Amino acid sequence: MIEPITVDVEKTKWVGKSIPRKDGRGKVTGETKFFSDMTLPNMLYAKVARSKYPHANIRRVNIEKAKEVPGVVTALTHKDVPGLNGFGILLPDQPVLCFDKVRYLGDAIAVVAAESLEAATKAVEAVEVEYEPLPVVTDPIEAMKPDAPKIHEKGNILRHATVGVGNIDRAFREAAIIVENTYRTGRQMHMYLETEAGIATLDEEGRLVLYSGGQSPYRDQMQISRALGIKPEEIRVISTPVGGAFGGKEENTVQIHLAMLALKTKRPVKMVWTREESGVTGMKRHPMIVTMKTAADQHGKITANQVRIVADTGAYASLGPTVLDVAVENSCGPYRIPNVDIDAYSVYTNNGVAGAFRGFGAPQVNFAIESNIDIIAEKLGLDRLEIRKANVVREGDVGLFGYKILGSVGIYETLQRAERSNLWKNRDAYKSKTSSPWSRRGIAVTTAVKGFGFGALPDFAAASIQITPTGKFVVGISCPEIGQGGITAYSQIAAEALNCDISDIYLASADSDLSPDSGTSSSSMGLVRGGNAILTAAPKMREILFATASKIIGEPRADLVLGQSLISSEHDPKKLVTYVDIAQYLHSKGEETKVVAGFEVPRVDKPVEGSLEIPHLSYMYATAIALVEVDTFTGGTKVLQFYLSPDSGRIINPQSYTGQCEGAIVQGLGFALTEETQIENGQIRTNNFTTYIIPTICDVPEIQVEPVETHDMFTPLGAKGLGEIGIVPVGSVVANAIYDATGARLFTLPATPERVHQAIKEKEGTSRDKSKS
Amino acid sequence: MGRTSGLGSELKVRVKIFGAPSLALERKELTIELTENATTEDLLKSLPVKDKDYLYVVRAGIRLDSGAKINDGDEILIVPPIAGG
Repeated sequence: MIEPITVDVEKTKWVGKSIPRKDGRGKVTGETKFFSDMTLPNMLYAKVARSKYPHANIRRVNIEKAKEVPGVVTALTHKDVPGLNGFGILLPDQPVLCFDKVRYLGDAIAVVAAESLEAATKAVEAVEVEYEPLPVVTDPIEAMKPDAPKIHEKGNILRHATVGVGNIDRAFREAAIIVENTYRTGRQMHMYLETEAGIATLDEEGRLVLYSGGQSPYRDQMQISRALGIKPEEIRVISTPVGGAFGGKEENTVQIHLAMLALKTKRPVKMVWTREESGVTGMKRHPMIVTMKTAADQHGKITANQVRIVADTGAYASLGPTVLDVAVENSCGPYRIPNVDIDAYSVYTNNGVAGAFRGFGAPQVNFAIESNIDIIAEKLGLDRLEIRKANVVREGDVGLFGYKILGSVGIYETLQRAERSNLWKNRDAYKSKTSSPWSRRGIAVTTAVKGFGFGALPDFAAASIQITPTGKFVVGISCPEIGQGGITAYSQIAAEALNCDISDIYLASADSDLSPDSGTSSSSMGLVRGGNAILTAAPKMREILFATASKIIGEPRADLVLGQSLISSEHDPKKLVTYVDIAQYLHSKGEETKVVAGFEVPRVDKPVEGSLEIPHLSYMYATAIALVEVDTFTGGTKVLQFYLSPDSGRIINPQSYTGQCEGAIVQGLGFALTEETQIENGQIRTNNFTTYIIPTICDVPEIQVEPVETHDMFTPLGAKGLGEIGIVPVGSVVANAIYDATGARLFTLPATPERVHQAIKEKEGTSRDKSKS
Repeated sequence: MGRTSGLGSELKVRVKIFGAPSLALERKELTIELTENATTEDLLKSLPVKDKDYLYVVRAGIRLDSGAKINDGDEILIVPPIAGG
């Protein structure tokens, strides 16, 4: 067996360097064409007729009038779904086209393809649907009651997870302090620059080709194949470039509808969801209600944590079961807590659909645990950073559920780094200045943890490397570029492993015909999956290079050494062959020029009882500090400075690393301060940028990213995940900083001006009551 | 479990099964015997699981095509397509 290449990160040429993004210029200048920009000759335009009710039985669907609209080529209903009329990666419970009932406002009932977008739009308006409205279920707590209207036949509880460790009752009896609160978080939308979009067409042999910005061409291929009842290999899926995903494009969006229409019409068909359609139909972050009871001894050692989670997964499962697992796993933070009792539900409602979103359940519970820790610290008179240092897990510790943490653990070091930061050291000075007499400043520090990858679930990744006739390399990786810098990082790793210039590496990216299955660009794992796969394939390519060089030079393999894009004799450096020579030899002789190799991601043999993917073997960590200023008249909060010290293992590209962290922080500020999809009785009130407020450049604080580099054992590079960890602590650190500024504690995110203002009023009311008594 | 034809030599393959298919089988790991030149399709046929067309057959980190040959001593994962975070 050929062992993967281990890169000595101290002596690298490409890895660990701030190589400019290969796709950067095109994206910054607007030259990059996304699938929503693409047109094909003779192309049709597709639209979806969607439910006008959040919950209703369907009595009748009539598409005859839609078909009569001038320019309409076809209109399809559930009767035209040839395979399984369902999708959903874990549980295919969402109809491709609804037939008996609708469960949320965006449910698809019919699809049309027309010669123009205008005709397609008119046609979907002409689709006649007779509904029998049903009671709408919007409150997840109510939805759990036995007499609640059933959204699915089997009931409204999608998943119930319970995990227990130690003796929680004894721990509470013996505790010096117990803090119990209920926290709520908002329904955040992904708000990518490019909405869900794609084009399906048939190639010259009549094979289906789908161009669509998803997070895994092979998962999309599987879902299309299942719905259409055709073999996966009869479908080619190309998924790069993607104009932002953040988890929201992990699930099927436009793909199956486009595939159906292209096969029916035998013409290219394009669909781009409008922003409003994306807002109504697209995935959301799970809102969660987290009741947390945390106990500590008199020194601030946390001794117990009881957690009750109710996650609103909306109308369909999507990735709700695993989001719940990650929430369970992260609900005790990166802390050593010997007694834990977690009871968690993921519940169906008629509130849109919730699924994967950067952080995947972790930001919601982080808000709860980090708020409770601050409350305990204050009540015990302890420093907020010291209490965390005293409780965080360390290298070699046994984790929350009795498993030894095998990956690198740098959380303590991130706290040390944060402690030495200018912002923390001089916090009193920073807090003393305000922009108005009625403003107050506050600073807080919180920590975060999240596993990367699928934890106990099986995961694997493959890569291919082919040498071209000109001595360059085409590297096949199917993890799409979703803005995370994957193309550049993979090129760096390949150039390092093959000892060539980075300009000699081309990526065959996210194309099911050209790149083997490398898994998904998700779970902060794209780099680890793809990078490890490349390092597993590279030795095989090296073997080809050396064997060929040996033939050309006429010296044994053992006497040859690798140089920069060449192989030479160890004894006589003048005897050499370049990669160009080797490539020409291989191609002229018709010998093998391509290798494929893969690896399985390490996992525990058996997940924690009652869970699907807990535990992960390795985790990302971070410590965050935020300086906020609160206008006490309006409740408006501005984050002035943000400090993040992540432990994401070895850094492959420092520039991309910082960019990932900055992006995560800014997206986290939306979760913390403004972003909340307003749904009233199943009707979404905030489906565009006019009503759904995301941070702009004016809201971006001064950001400092100061990594702690550890070396993780699961990859020859030592790199861990990064994409999500930056967002996890943002909600908690902003809420705790608002408390530090005003004395008003937030129990609901986002901390909108109304909520902050109300919290300040309540706190002032409490203070007045106390002074009276 | 498994398939033996009595013709030619036999392959022993260790199979690990994940997700819903493992629930149907009520076990997560088994050793099966296949005849020489068996493919992934033969392997899947020998397992009493549903939706075989959508299961991934994985060897050494690589998802195998439907006609790929199985070797004696292979360790094979049967994986439903999974994504997540």
